[in-house]
This record gives sequence, C-alpha cells and structure tokens, in this order.
Amino acid sequence: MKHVATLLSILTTLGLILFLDGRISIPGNPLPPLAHFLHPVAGVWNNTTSLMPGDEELTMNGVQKASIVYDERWVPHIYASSMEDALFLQGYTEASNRLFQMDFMTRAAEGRLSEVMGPLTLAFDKSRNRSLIETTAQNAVIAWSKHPESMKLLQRYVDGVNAYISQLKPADYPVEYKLLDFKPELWTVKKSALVYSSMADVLCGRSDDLESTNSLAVLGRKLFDEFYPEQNDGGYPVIPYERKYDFKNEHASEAPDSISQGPFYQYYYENRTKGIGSNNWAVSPSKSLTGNAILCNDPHLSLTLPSIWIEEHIVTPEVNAYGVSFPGFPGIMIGFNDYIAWGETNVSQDVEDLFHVVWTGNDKTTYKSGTGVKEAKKVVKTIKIKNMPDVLDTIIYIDKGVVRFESNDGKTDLAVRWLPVDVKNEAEFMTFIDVMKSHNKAEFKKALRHFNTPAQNFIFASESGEIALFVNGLFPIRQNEDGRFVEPASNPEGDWQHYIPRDQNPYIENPISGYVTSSNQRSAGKDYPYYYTGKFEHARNMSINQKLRDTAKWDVAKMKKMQADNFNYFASKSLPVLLDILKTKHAQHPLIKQWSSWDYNYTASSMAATSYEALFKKIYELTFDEILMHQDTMDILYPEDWRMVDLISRDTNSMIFDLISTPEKKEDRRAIVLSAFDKISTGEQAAKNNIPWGSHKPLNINHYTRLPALSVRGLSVDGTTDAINAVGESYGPSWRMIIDMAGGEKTKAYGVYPGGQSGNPLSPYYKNMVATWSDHKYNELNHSSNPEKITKTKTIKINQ
Amino acid sequence: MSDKIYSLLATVITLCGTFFLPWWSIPTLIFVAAMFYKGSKLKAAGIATGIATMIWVSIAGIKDGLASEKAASLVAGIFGNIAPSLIFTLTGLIIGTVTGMAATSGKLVAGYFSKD
Repeated sequence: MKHVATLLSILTTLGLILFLDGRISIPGNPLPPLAHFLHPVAGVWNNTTSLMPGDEELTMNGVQKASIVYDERWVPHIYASSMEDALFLQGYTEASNRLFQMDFMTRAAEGRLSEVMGPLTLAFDKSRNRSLIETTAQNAVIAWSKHPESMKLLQRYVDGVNAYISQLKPADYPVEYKLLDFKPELWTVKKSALVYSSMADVLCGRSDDLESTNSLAVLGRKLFDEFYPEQNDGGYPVIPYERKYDFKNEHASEAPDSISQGPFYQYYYENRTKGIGSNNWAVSPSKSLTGNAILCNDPHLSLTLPSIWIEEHIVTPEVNAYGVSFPGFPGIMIGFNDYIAWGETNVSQDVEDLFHVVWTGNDKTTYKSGTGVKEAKKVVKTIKIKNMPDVLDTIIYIDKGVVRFESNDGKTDLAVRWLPVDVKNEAEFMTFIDVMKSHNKAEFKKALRHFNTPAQNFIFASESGEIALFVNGLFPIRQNEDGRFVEPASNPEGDWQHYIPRDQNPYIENPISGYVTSSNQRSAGKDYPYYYTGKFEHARNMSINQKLRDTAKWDVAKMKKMQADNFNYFASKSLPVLLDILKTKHAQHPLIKQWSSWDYNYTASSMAATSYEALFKKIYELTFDEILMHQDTMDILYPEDWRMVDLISRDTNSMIFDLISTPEKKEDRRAIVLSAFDKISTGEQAAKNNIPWGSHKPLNINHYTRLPALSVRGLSVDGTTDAINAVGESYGPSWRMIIDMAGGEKTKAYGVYPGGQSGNPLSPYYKNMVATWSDHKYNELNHSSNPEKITKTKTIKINQ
Repeated sequence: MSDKIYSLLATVITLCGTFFLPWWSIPTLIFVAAMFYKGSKLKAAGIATGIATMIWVSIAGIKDGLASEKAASLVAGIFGNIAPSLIFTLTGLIIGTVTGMAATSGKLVAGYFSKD
C-alpha cells in the first residue's frame, strides 16, 4: 500500500508539472500551459503596464542619433536623420506595439493559422492556400528585389522589426503569444509583402462571376438584365462628366470572352460583407472658409482590435509626414506632410475572373484546352496543426490561375485568375515613400505611377490650394461583359491580354466645381472608352456630391459633421413613395406616423430606421422572389439595393413585382408594398420594430482571435452602410481624417479610429479611442517637426 | 530539518524558482527539501503549499494593483467571465497544488530511507 501511495503521489506530481508546463496536451483543451500563462513574473501578469512608463535610452547598430516620442495617445513621433533610419524605427515601433497582429495577419495570409490556433482554422488555411495572396507576395518580392532603393528601405524596416523581436524575452511576449503558447518569428520582406497582398485581397479579391452565371442561367437574359442593370443612370461617377476623353480603346474590336453554362449547384461562397468601401473628398480654397484646401478621408474597412491602422509621425530632414499605416508595411498610406495631404478609396472594379475547368481524367492532371488538353500543376503544401499531425494539402494550378473551388462530382472545378498576380511594378513599394516626400501635385502624380494594385481613388490637396483625384492602378482591358461571368478554361485566348495605358486612367485636377470626391462608385461616365465591371456604390456618392455641391463654404467643423452624417439616400428616395401607397390603407397606423416624421437619419436611437429596414427587406424579398427562391441551392447574385429603390420610385408596373407563388394573379408595386407592410406590422416582427437602430444592429469590434474578452462588442452607434457614416456590424469608418491644408505648422489636422495605438489588451491605449470615435469626436494631430512641442508620455533616445 | 528551516528553505526556493529559474524547479527542489524535513507529510505539504501560494498570489496582486488595466479582469473574461478574484485563486492553486504534491512525494520517498 505504501508503495502504491508513493508511486501515485510521484506520478501525480510529475503529471501535474508536465500538464501545467504544456508538455502533455489534451485534445480539445483550449487552455494555455497554465504555469506559464499565470506565472506572476513571466506570465500574463507581466503584460500589465503603468500609466507613467519610464523613458528609455537604447543603442541600435546602424542607426544614427534619433528619438521616438510617444505622445498622450501613444502615437509615436519618430525623429531620425534619414528615411532609412526612420523606417527602421517605424519597424521597431510597430513591432513593439502590434507584434501579434503583424504575426497573425501574415500567418493568416500564408495559410498558417492552424500552426498556432489548432484544427479550428484548418479550413481557413486551405482556402488561403487557394487564394493567390502568397503567390502575389512572392511575385512582389521578386519584383521589388530588382529595385535597389526599394529593397534598401524595406530591409531597414525589416531590420527594425527584428531589432525589437530579437531583444524580446519570453516574459515580454504579447499576451496572445502566452495565451496561444507560441513564439514570434523573425520578420522578412516577404511578410511585409504578405501584409500588402492581404490588403489587396480585402479590397479586390472577390468577384461576382459565379453568382452572375448562376443567376443568368436560372433567370434567362431578359429577366437578368432587369434584375442587374450595369449602370445606375442617376449616379455621379468618381471622375465627373466634365472630364472629356480624347483617346480611343485600341482593342475595342476584339471579341468578348465566352460564358460558361451555369448554374453551378453547389455553395462556394460565404455571404459577402457589405460595407467594405470608403469616402474621400476635398474642396478647393474657393469653397473653403479658411481659404485653404480641405481634404477628408474615411476608409470603411473591418473594425478590429487592434485596429488595422496605426497612427505615426515621421520626421527626417526631408520629410515631416503624419498619418496612418498598416502595421507590417512601411510608409504612411493616408496622411499629410508640410505641403500636401492624400487619401484613398477603393476603386471596386472587378479584377478577379473565374474559369470553369473540365478535367479529362479522374486524377485532375489534365484539362480541356482548345481542341486538346493541357497539364495542370500540383503543389503539395504541408499544413502544420497545433497538437495534431500535419495535413498535406494539394493545390492545383492551371494556366490561368489556381483551382479555388472543387465540385462534388470531381469532374469540373472553378479556377481563379487575379490581377495582382499578373504584373508587378519593381518600384511599387516606393509609392507611399515618394508620396510622403512629395511637395506638390507633379511629384505626387509621379509617385502614383508606381502603384498597380489594389487600384485606389487617390485624392490630393496641397498648401497651394490645388485639389485632384486619380483613379489609379493597373486595369485590364475588357470587352463588353468580360469578367462578369464564369468563363470556360478551355478557351486559351480567353480573358484579358492587355492593360489600360497608365495615362488613360480617369482623373480630374482642380475642377470648376471646386470639389472632388469618391466613394467606391463607378470610376467614370459612359463616355470613358474602356468597359469595366465591378461592385459599385450608389447611395453615399449621391449624399456626398449633393452636400458638396449645395454648401458654398466649408470648414473643419462642417467636415466633421459631414463625416458623421447618418442620412440614408435610399430611404429618402423610397420611403415617400411607400408612404403614399401605405397611407391609402393604413393612414392611422403608428408606423406610418413614425416614418412620416422621420428625417432618414440612422441614429442609434432611431426606431424608424429599424422598422423601415424591416419593410425594405420584406419588399425586397417579395419583389426579387424569382431569384431568391434559388438561394438555398446555389450561390446567387443578390440584386443591389439601388435597383430596388429604382423599381419602387420609378418602375411601378415592372414585371419583377409579380409573385411567382401566385400564377393566377399579377401583383404590382402597390400589392407588394401592402403585403410587405402586413407582414412586418403584425406578429413577432411588430415587436422587433420597437428596438432602437443601435441595439437592433450593434457594432462588434473583434480582436483577431475573436475572443470576446479582447473585443468590444454590442456597441450602440449611429450609422448604416448606405450613409456617409457607413457603420455596419463589424466594419465602418476605420480612420476618419480631416486636413485643413494651410501648409507647414499652420496645417490643422484631425483624426480618429475606433481602437487604440497599443495592441496590448492590458494597455490603457488598447481601446481608448473607441468612445472618441463612436461619439464622433476627433483628436488633433500634432505634426510639429520640433519634438519639444509634443506632449510626452515616454521618450526613447537612440544612440544619444 | 526543523519547521523554521524548512519554511525558510521553501521561501527561498519559491522566490528563486519564480524570479530566476524555470517554474518547475520549485516543486523539484521542494521535493528534495521535504525529504529532509522532520515533520509530518501533511505539515510538509501544508507549509510548501502555503508559502508558494502566498508568494505567487502576492506578486500577481502587487503587479495588478499597480497596473492601469487589470490582468485579473482580462483573464477572467478570457476564461468565461468568471470573477477576477478566481484568477488569483487559480494562480495560487497552480503552484500550491504542485508544490504540496511534491512535498508529499518527498516525504513518502524519504520514508524508504528512514531508520524507523
């Protein structure tokens, strides 16, 4: 008995030690090694921070005398003697504040999340292996390496990140590393390229080819054109109609690509996120109360903790630039310097095409091409999974791209071609570095010539009062409807062969209207000689253009108000018509009274917004029943809201209003509207109408791991995707910026994003700006080139 | 080894094992120390558990007390919205349980070498 007790005691002790040390893993156990995680000196307790951090003096090889001053919001102001040193210190500060985010983003891009997250993310990793993000990054590194200036600067940034990582002790690892029990890897140029290509994936890594093909197949051409007109006649293009084009499309006579026969009875896509987009606008001194050009930008992207942006100020003898950057990629993407201000919105043109591959054998080694067959290339990638055996993932490539979606029958698949893979500009990396250095429009334009993808609407304002907008990037030359549908991979001549010459991209400089603006709508008017397709915005651009046109003079206060504007243009167009119909039968109904006094603003407290959304959704469901009836069997193209508004307000007797389920009668707009009202004003839905908009559609700002404790969830905020303040359920204005471009120290700059500068959930700077953002307040951006004028929280002196 | 010496040794071992050595050195060294302790198994385990728990909880408490954002609250949230005080308890339990078990094992092994 004594032996048994001793043996049991020793084995229990050893077992406990091994378990708490993480040497014994229990499948499905989500806990980190607890003795490490809760270690009072090296564990999570060591990640707590003080409100009064001490100053530091550091010695760094290869860097001249420099300093990093953290201000009262933990914005690093980097004072260096050269751009090389500044980028080194940018890398250092980004790593010291956002290391886990940088690491996680690049692992996600490479399909390596399962290494640290376990089998939960295996499907995600497999999808990433078929995304072309890594191929794009690899191609970018090859191209950039041919440009010595790019590589020199990139390498300095990489060295800065690694200078931070190399001195890190396990006790100092960010909380998430301790929680997930892994170590940071050294940074590389490829990782920076992955950050870049990940953003390209977010902004242009999606097309509607499959959904369009399915919808065309089930609706037929006539109804398809009724449901999905390509042009909205009422919209303002990014580049206004006053811009005339004195060139021709030299390839206009080429034949359009053929279309694959759908439908494809299988689900491939998750629901598409609505709301990724952005606004920017600038007014010239003629429309400004201050006499300066004023530039505004608010990119609507995923709202995450930490934010996808980090605020930074870089000062060298040749540059004094302030703005936001993507952690992991050097330079400032949206910002200003002493002479100019700049920003971007996404162009939204479709640069991803799908191909239907017909295999000629069961092993998917050959596929139909022309009159013969071609060989596919197979690449086997090993996916490492935490606490599990590795998984081998076979990825198949055809001549046009990667096989992304495999069908259940194994005989045909869908492959993808993506423009960012195609052509890399060797100096593309230099775009934002050269923009930061620009003194005027000519230098700014020159910098933009390097930039290929993801195509952006670059907005510009200068201290001299110039404003401009450039639809900038690499665009394929397409014939009518090319890129709209799935194409047969068997056509060797199919898909784009040429690119629009750079100087034929649409742009406008100093327009007579006194303003420029973009919000992801169509790039140019119908007279632009090149066909393009994509997913374009139709409501915000109307609100913005009308406000800019109708307001004689602007100042910063008015710009702030405009960025916070919750007016839904679609609601303002459709609801008066709907009310005219509804009042004929339900004049005294409380909902009618509620809507009659509504100003179409989606404030958090608005009940009318909630009930109107329910009505609109129901009318949409009844109207587009012909296509929605297929949504349970295949990926369909959902008609856009602007088409619904168009039908409500203009096309009373459209055949689309007729319900499929009642062949014996013919419904019109009135019948559909009254039926929709009956459905939402009774029963369960009636109770749901009495919820304020902010509670009905709360905002979630999730941490990358989706852990609620590290996220901010259930925020009741103003806004909707079709308002200028385009807040969705987990996305929205990710950085609001307003620059009154007086020049030099006189420039007044304001900005805010929903998050905080630090990626450490135990830092007071982790989410300190969320409330500022949700209250529509701004921080004044201190861009002084004199470090003594910065309110200091902490100073790091380097080699002093 | 008397109660006093054993307690002092347990304190030194826990402090060294916390600040300078891998955490598992604490139960390992306590195991050895307990072999030379004259008291009962229960007392050996009790003293080791008490001292190790107190030291870990105290350090965690001081760090969290001085912090602007509380680690206990964050971890409590991560572990499913439990009370933050339970995170201190868990921190103490981790080291206390293993150290107590190591002391018990040490005493049991010492029994084989005892002349009694």
